[in-house]
Amino acid sequence: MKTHASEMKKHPNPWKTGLQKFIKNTPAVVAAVVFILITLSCVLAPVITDGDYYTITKEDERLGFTSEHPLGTDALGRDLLTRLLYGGRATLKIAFVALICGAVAGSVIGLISGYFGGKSDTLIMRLVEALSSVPVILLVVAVECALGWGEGNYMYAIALSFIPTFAKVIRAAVIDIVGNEYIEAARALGCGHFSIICKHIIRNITAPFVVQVSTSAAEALLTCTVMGYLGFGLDPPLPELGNIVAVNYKLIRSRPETAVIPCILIVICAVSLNLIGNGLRDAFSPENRSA
Amino acid sequence: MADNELLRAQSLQKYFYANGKKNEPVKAVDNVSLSIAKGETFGLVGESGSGKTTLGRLLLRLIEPQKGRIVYNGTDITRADMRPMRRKMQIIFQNPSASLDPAMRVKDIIAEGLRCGGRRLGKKETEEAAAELLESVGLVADDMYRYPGEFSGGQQQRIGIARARAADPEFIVCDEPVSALDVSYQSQIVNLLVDLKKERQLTYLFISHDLSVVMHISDRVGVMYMGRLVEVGNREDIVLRTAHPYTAALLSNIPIPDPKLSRARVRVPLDVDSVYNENTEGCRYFSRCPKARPECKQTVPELKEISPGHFCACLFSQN
Repeated sequence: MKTHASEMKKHPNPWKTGLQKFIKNTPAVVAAVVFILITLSCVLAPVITDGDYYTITKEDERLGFTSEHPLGTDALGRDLLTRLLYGGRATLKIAFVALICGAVAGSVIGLISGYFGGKSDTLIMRLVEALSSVPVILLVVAVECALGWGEGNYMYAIALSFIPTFAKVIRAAVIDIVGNEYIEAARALGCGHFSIICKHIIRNITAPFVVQVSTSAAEALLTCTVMGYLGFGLDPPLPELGNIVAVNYKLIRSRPETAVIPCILIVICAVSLNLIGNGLRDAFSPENRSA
Repeated sequence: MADNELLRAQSLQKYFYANGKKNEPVKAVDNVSLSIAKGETFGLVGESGSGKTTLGRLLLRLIEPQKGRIVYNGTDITRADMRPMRRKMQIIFQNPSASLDPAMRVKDIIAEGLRCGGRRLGKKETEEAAAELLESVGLVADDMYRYPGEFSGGQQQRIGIARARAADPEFIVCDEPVSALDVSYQSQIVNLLVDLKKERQLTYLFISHDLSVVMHISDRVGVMYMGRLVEVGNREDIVLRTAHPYTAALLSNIPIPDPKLSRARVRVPLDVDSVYNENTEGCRYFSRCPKARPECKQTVPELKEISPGHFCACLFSQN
């Protein structure tokens, strides 16, 4: 019993060891730094810029990169940097609020479905599958037509599109956990459903939840930009990464930088989110977690 | 039955329906009655799938019985709210690693047992009690800050025992507590269980497929075959005055670690292939029984007392 005496002083926390693993993953850390910088500059857009993303400069003043317009002006002569920062701000906000709402709602559905099983499970999962068969674009259009055009409903529609993924992933994780004898042990000790869910289930689905959120983050961002590009997003003149590209796409031959720069920003965001997601998955997935 | 009876089960039944109710159910526990006296160790043996584990779970109402009655200490608990009973009846599981939550520290696992039955304990009290319990099962107090994954199988089983003990029970179902462990650990855990029993006047239902372990630890033994108890009796009765042909077959197949003795003895074959030719009308053991007669195919043998305290379910019991 004393064989592990030397190790006994440190009591490694699985979260701490996971974080250490993540820090050793160089691409993920670089991606995290890049993404945090982008997010920070978007959040601080009102401080960095003068907040003027709608004034249209005259035709003869559109000079490309100048001190007044560091990234030039867009197809309508508005300052591109300001629009990009404000657009990034809007897109990131919508993507993340929608992702978190969808993730939490989907996880609760999956948890109930997986934990209680039986007929309620069958019914819930059929409904979830029905929802997952609706394409995102159709979902966004349907929700916005039914409930009205606006940022809130837009987020709501994208959140809905994430429910099936999370419901399925969390349900599978919960079914796996419920099969373990420690759940039966908890029942033998007189724990009710509520305390079993709070004490054992939630603790054990946190890792798959975090991993799924981070892998879905890039998808959420891209869904938002696609919707913006197609014009289902925010109303102009409000900027959004998607509609910035859509407006400037007309200049792809004469002044390609106006369309390419926002695309590069989108790509950087999506790639760094994916790298972070992979890093988190490697660090926290259950098969790599044993001490 | 006896005055000092702690737990009695009457005609318990649990069928599992694999693919809807149309198919023939799996008769995991079929009309089983048994009585366990205070302070005794009741060993339950049988091959895989004979319903031992299901019976253990039924007695604790972790699985609900379809028919029958469970009486604990004079009170009928078949339909009762189990919350107040949980403290008195505990269980130790077969697979030590699956029976401990990998995301919880050992002290939280033991605290779950301590809080059983609605007891409230402060942080300091919990840690003190956990330390004491860990030491009583042969671990050190400092282990409570570690996670289950950091322990060996034998150590994990000790934590499982500490959790069950934390509730301060009278009756513990030991569901194959040693079968997942190395032989060197098996004797340690069995001895620990025996010591705890002496210290606390516990009553055990000891489930195992390993006859030698059951014979070592038990006062009385029940032999299960395909959901039914076929023989119940004192350890001596079972070994020396074996009445049921299935028990005889099991006993003759205990490995003997001496090749000369092993070769010399007569072994009753356990014909595994015919097990699925289940005889639905008469004796379940009919298709494998070396002594089967035509009557066995029609009549279901009831558990009869053939000598005081010794029961056997065979039309032609051997003594």
